[in-house]
Amino acid sequence: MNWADAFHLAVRSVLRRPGRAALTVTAVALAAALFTAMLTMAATAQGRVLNQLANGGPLAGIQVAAAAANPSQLGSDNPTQGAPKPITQATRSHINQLPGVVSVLPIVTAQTLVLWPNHAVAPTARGGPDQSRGVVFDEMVGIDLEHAADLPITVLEGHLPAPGSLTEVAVTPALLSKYGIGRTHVASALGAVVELGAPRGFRDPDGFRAFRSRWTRATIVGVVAEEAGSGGVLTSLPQATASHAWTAAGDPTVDSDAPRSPYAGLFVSARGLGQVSQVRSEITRLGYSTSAPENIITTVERYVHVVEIVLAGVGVIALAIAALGITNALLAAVRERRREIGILKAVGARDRDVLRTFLIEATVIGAVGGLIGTIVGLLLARIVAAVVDGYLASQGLAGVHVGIPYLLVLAAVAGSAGLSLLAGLFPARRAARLPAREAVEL
Amino acid sequence: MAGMSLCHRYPGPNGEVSVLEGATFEVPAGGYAALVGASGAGKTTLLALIGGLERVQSGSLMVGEHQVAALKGDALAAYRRMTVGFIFQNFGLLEALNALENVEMAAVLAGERTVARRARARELLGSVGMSHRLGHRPAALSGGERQRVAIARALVNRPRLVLADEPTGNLDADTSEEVMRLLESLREEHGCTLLVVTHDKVLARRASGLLALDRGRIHAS
Amino acid sequence: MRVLPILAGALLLAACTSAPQTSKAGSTSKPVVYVAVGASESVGVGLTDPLVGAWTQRFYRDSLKPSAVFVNMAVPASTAMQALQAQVPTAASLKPTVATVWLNVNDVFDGVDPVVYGRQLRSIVSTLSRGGAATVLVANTPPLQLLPGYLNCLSGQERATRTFSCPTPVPTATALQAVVAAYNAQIASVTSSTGALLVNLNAAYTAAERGGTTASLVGPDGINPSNAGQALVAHAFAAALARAHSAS
Repeated sequence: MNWADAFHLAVRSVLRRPGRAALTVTAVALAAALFTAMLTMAATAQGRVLNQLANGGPLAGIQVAAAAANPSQLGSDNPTQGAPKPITQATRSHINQLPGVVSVLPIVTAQTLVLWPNHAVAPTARGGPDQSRGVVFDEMVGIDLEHAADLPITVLEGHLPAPGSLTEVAVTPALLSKYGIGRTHVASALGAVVELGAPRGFRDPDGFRAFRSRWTRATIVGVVAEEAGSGGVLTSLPQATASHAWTAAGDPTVDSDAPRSPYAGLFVSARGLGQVSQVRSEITRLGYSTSAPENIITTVERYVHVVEIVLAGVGVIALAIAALGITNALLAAVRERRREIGILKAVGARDRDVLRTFLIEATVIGAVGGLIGTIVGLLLARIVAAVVDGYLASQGLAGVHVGIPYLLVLAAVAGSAGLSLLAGLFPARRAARLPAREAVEL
Repeated sequence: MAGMSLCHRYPGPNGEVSVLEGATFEVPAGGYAALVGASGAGKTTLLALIGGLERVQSGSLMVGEHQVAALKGDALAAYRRMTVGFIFQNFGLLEALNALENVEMAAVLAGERTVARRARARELLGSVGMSHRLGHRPAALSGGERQRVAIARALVNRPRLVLADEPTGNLDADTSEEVMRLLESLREEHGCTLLVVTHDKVLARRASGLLALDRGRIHAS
Repeated sequence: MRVLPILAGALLLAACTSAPQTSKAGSTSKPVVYVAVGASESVGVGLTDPLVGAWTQRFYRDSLKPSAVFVNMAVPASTAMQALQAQVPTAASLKPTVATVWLNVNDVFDGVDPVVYGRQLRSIVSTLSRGGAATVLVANTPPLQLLPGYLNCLSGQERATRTFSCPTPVPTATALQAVVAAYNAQIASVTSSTGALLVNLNAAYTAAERGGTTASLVGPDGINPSNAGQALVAHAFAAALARAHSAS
């Protein structure tokens, strides 16, 4: 009997007892679902945690601050910074040529008044010198928006400003909270037009200190969580550069806090996590303070791996129980079909024909159960992710992303089928050894 | 076909039960013999020995050129498949398969190609008058119909010997008559040897040879 | 839970369709740089929310395209002379395409000679216009004799604010009217000869006065415009710019 004929006979035999087949398939499916859901969730959680640690940027990202290096900074992910030290175009190109560096993205920050005409400022944000309605003081963070994906920025609502745009901005929930807009309502800010005023310190003829602002208007097109700079307004590079230039040219006796460094910082991407240390020490040699979540990422990766092993272990135990269920069901089938097996042998079936048929039965049950279970498991993971997303959204955080881990799907289906094949081995051998005499009643 | 001094014992609840004690018989090639005897006389055991379903414990058994006692494993399976056609009292059809597939199964085991075996199964089912019920499962067939399918299956690999164990045991008188006639006509058509086990004297008389099994021995007439 | 993003998407859609500014944002053919030169009125002194209510901010917000950049160089209490020294150099360095000038109230009350004032204003306007590269809008002097602050000075109830203290001696209403007329003649002469646009605040206030709303146009200090006054001024500047645009 060839494989195709054996498969045909096996499928017919499985279908003859649809109830039992369904139960056995369900057991395998449940186990596979558990297995898949657990691994998918573990992988998703790992991605989410690492993404959180890297603030949505690349894992091998290094932030260079416009400050002098602290001698002991290499041992720490977030060292305290030294005295201000300007980052210039020359610094940028120098770092770009360091070995292990993939890209260097400039970050320009500028002080800014944010004027939202006719929008009340939340009581907690009032106070300070300027209590005008609708005006809060914040910082503008200008980035190369074409490479926003390589920076620690997560879009919560809407989208990022168009690269080079002077009339679009994204804002952070922290800025919106100054206007009394809670984290669950940040989307309501989209489409609003705000006026941004970069202040410049002047000494008036009468000796008074005065600030005159360079105003621009912009539409809020997105709400983002960003760690590229410390500001609440994310803009294009030219927008922030113009604002910075206006403020930096002010009278230093009036505004000593005005940032003078052309670049507030650089975001350096190393080739991989392993290169981060080396690149950081090179930048330290240039005298700049750096920070990178390398240590914590490595630690978390290690922990998550342990969790994955434990979860996979639970899944494997479930699959083993399901496999025992297959063994049991097949043993019952063998006992029930003694006469049929005898008949099959009486009409000339060899031991291996019978063995093959039963093994195929087991494998078919395992594969079908594995497939159904994997699909259910992925759906389960998606449902959990949706619930978690809802929670994260209510906290004003970026949601999780569940991809379809094709390799995992393949492994789960193949694994279930393989395990079932093993589970079928014992009953199949027993069936194969039944004598042909079972066909007749003696 | 010839049997010499066949002895056979079964382990029973009160020690071994001896069923055959030196049974000796001969059926000529192409012959038609009936094997009769009281219930429990060992008719089915003898048939199982001849059909290769049961191992020969002592004595010798020749079927054609096959020394049955010497056959083992795949050779024994091949013997059951190619040399013998078995017809069971309770039909012995596989419930999961329909009539055509049941007949085909014997050819499937013989490794015959799909097109050829399907054509042969259809032809045989036609010759037993079952052309109209090819797709029916055994459960949907009457006793007589099931036995016709079983007969077709027994013949699918062109065996030289057809063994029938109480082929009409579960059938009413009219159907029994039909089935026996069919069996006999097919025997003539295919030119194979036919050995029918029965306890029905009338049925036994239709055969050209009679083997009577009594207390483990065979009396031929 | 899936409803949230859909809702957010719907909000975004609604927000986009209700924000006509976003569609205009694309048309940035030439960058508009607007500078304001002026005194306390142009800063919005006396307003609760000067950045929202000052006419300069209103003019920028409502009359210029979304990509426009605006710097308000106005210094409270500034005269034309002081502005020429402290405001105009920086303002001109910004290479404005639109400039507004409202400098006359402090000069009037400081007793600056109208002819001297005219010379200084001409210098301011020609520096800002950079040979016609910028559209310069110049406001003339409103009818000052109606200001509560002036009337208080006249009646002897002297009041001084940071930006205004009574002139000595306090001119009579007729004398003040004559000075204002002389100033406005100088302003008209400067605008007509330099190609600047005249913003006739005097006429706008007079028209409002006939409508009986003058009092509400002045803020609590009796001199600087109230929110309604700032709106009136912004409208006058907007109308002048619109007239110039439709003429060209």
